[in-house]
Amino acid sequence: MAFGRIRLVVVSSVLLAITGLMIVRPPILDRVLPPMMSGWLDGFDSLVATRTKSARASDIPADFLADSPDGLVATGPIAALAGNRPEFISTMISGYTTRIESDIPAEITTIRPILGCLLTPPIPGTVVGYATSGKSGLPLALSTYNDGHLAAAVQIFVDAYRLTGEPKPVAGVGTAYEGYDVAVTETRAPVYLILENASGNRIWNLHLADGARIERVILLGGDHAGIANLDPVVPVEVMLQDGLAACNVRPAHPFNPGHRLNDPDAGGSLSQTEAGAPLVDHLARTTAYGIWFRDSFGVSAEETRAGFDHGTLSVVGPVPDEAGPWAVYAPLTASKIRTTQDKFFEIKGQVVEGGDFASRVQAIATSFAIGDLTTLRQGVAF
Amino acid sequence: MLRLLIGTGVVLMAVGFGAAGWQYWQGQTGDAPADLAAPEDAGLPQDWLISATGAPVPHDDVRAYLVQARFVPSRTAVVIRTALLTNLLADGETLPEASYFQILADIRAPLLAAGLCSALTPLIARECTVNAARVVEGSVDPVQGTAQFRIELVYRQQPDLADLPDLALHVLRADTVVLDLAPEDAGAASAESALAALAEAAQAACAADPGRQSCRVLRLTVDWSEGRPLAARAEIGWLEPLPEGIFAAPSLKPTPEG
Repeated sequence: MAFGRIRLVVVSSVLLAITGLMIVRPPILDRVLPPMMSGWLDGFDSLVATRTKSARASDIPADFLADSPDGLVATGPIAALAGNRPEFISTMISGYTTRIESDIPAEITTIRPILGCLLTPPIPGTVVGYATSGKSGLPLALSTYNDGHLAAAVQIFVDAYRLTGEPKPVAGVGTAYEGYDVAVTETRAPVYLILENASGNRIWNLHLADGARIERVILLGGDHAGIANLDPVVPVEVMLQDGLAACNVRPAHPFNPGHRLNDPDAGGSLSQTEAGAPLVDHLARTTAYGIWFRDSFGVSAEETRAGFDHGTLSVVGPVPDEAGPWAVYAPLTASKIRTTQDKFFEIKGQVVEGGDFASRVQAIATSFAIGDLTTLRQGVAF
Repeated sequence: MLRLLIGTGVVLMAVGFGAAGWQYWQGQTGDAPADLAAPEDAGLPQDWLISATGAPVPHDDVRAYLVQARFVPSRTAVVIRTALLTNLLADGETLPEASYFQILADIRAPLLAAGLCSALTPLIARECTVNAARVVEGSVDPVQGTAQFRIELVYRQQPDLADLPDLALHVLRADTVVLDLAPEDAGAASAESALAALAEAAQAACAADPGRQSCRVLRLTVDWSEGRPLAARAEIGWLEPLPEGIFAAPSLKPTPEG
């Protein structure tokens, strides 16, 4: 009898712990679980979300958009539409996931930025779609870097070695591509797609609704940029951050009302006086960029722009009705990617031994230390 | 089943208490207050000195002057020098991409320290070694192929010919010896010769006044670039009898019992 009760307690505790883990779902769980289990948990999450949503019928997408000192931040499952209107992701795209950290594409083609400052304008009859990305928090297994990244990492390696005497591997800073999703639900006309990245390396993952067509893709800004799941016949033109700067184009958009420069009292660390000059400068930049944008693409940047400062998905086109057409999530796994890249390109887990970033760093440090890292140690034991 | 349950519980308790105990032990050792008096100061007749104005001499200066049994962080010879990056290369080696100039210079900076200690020994130092050699941050000139380096030596001084007088009855006096040389002067030919010239000047300043008892070179600083005037300075310290009206009292310290 006593054993029966103990068993009951043990089994109940185990079940409770498993349920708790499924609900809380710490990130480490996804690293240790096989992909099949992660997928099953995704389904569980959706189920919970659906139940929660129906239980909280008063929730609207705007509830998940924070007007913060750091910009507009998506705090829940929302996407940005033209004019930066928020909408629930689940009403526009099917099969959506943000678990892409270990996705490996099937094919990567290198593209190069355009020469000069003139982009091909949209042809009449096309719809101009404009998505911007700030931070998505979706690092990919792809990275690209140059000698500058390696040199900076060697310095970190050497400094750490001098302190500890241990050769600790150093990861690249700002070398990984970050993913960002773009869904196209516009099916009335071909879409001229402008994708603008604020900084860093970006892979735009394209998800089309049935019947959506892309006329041309323009990739603007950032250090490096690429696009996944785009029909190989669609032309892509690229102007990265340095290319834009060379053409005296500096992308800028109006600050949200709660931004630290707009509203120093709402969490900003700057006083009204300190914020004044940067605000005026930003306003001038925004105006100049708006003029360049309209001259280049024939539409207003702010009216067409879809993209928060922190978010994962922008949607070009209308919100689908019950009958659709919904965009369909296209995974990065086994996809075709066209991207610009730096001197070195790396796919995590697919690099020959000694050819990854950390190994290169250690090899350079060892070479500069004339083969003996112990010569890096300095200092007298007083 | 019950045994398994109890066994698991015991193991978990052992791990938990073990971890807590380890953390407590680590905290105990980490929080131990540092010994105020460094062990190498123990053999000194006293670990304090006063200045001519009656104020206590900073502890670093006291150690730089008194502690001769070992190196001390405050008794240094600092050489700031500009050098060609090609001087850092091995035979047959070529310069890497410009991105690596800074880190190459930083790693190989100790090569430029070779020969500097010989400028101090045996003139003023009994023993000398390189404590740090680094490139100065942001000093790399990729066009000229040069960089600025900061090399810090520490040294033990040559023993005094006479024993130290009663420290309680003396004050520590200090002075700065400045050496300005034109680029064509022999002493300004290299960083090594500049350091040697400064050491000689400091020693000469000590010897210039017989009233400077137990005069010692406390610090040297040389800023050398090829073809430019030399700027070098040394700090020397010596003992003088207590001026009239000043009475030395040791610094107040807690008793060992607290």
